[in-house]
Amino acid sequence: MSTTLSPGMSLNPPSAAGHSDATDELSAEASAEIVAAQGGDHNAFARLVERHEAAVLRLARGLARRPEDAWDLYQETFTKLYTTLPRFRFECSFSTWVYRVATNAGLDYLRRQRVRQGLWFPLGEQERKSGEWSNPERTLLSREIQGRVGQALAHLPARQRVVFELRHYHGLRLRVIADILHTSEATAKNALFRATRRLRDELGDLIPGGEA
Amino acid sequence: MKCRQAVRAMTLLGEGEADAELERHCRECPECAQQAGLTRGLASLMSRAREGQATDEERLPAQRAALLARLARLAPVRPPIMMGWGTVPQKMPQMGVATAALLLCGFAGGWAARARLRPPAAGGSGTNDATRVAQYQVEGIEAGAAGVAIRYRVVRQGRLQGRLSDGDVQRLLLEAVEHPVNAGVRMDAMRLLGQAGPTPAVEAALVAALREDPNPGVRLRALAALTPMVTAERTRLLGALALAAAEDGNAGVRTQAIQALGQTAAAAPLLRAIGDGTADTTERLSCAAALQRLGATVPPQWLSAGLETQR
Repeated sequence: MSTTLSPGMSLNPPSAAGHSDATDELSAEASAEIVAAQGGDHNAFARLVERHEAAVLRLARGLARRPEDAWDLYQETFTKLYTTLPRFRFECSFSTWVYRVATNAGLDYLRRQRVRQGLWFPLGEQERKSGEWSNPERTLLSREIQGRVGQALAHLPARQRVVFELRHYHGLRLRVIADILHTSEATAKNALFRATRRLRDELGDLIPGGEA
Repeated sequence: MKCRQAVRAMTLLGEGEADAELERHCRECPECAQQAGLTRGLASLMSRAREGQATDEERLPAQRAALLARLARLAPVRPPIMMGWGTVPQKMPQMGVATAALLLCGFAGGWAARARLRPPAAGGSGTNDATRVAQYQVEGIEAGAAGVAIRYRVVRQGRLQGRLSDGDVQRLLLEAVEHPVNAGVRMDAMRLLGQAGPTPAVEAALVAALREDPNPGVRLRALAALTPMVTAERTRLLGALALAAAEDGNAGVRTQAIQALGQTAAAAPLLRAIGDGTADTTERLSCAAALQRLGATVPPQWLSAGLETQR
């Protein structure tokens, strides 16, 4: 996914595809679909999956180290969503609910990774060659840069990483991110600030004008 | 808008709140304008790093089909029933709910108490006993005519024991550096990370704490851990120390940062600049002492300001 940046003062893109705010999303039709899925309508649930899977996959791909892990997160998210759907009471946007489930799965994954396998480092040479991440376009960006960016993201604490991911790559507003993470906007803001600062420190020499 | 506010506002560009104000500030402050440029550069870099990523979306239909087939085999999702005590599974008899809840609380409470009282694991390196529920933190209570709804968080407790060189130990310590409540935990973590040796992650965490931790004691601890890491090659670390020496709100932190800079001759120009810039005689004296230890020249105007007698 690419983020368009104007040469002006825009660090974060406006709301990216795959997410819309609560008010416009819960149209009568969408609500009816959710209610139908809550009532056990399998087709309605399938349509919900179809509508939200791109965003879930994008988040999973951003957080997971390997493609297969991302697909596991995708499966885990929608399985949890299926089992917890009866508890959705229209108190927030459905996409916020979906993001919340996906984010929790992602946070669990990040913590498991840290404890079991150690800090993420960029994929090894062999993994990179055989992995499904690689494609011809990707080689346009030097391996060093990709490796450094991956490493810098991996150094972030799990919550900071998720906040940065949702803000930068999904274009969500802090209010929505705070809602997803069940925290205050100030806490989310602080996490984003710390994440940005740390990334800037670690990647400063890759940014034009960053290595003074 | 002050520079400190501007730096925070840079990460929030696009929220619309302070954009115009920040832009105005950047027109007047070249340093913040440069920082804003760096933040934009970071955004661009992070986006480029994902540009070539394979989307894999062609696998979505197959994955979705597998998911839905698996879910179809699960018990069907049923709508909840609202009862006096909130939402409960449909099959549970109403009369049994309160009993079940009470039993559950009893078991959980006893389990939590045992977990807290359990003695620590026996010695040895590299053990990590399974996490267990240690506490239920109530986050909110809503009472109404229909009953009570309690929102709570389950806290799990675990114990990791290992050497400082163990990756898992270091990772938990890095997490502990940002403990949101307990400054003592943050300080302990920093002290131990300082002993663990300089790695990029440790250095970044300590530098971040030095810049951002609201507690001056914690910042001092971060400085103490960073001091042995100071070398001429670590320009980023020298920059962070110089910033602390010049701008930290706490005089103790400023003085200790000056002393830390005095570890390497490469910091001599920074020390001169800090000494020139400060109005505080003690700080200038610290700069002079550090320069002398390095064998560097102390600016004569400092001596004429009365420092000579103190030497």
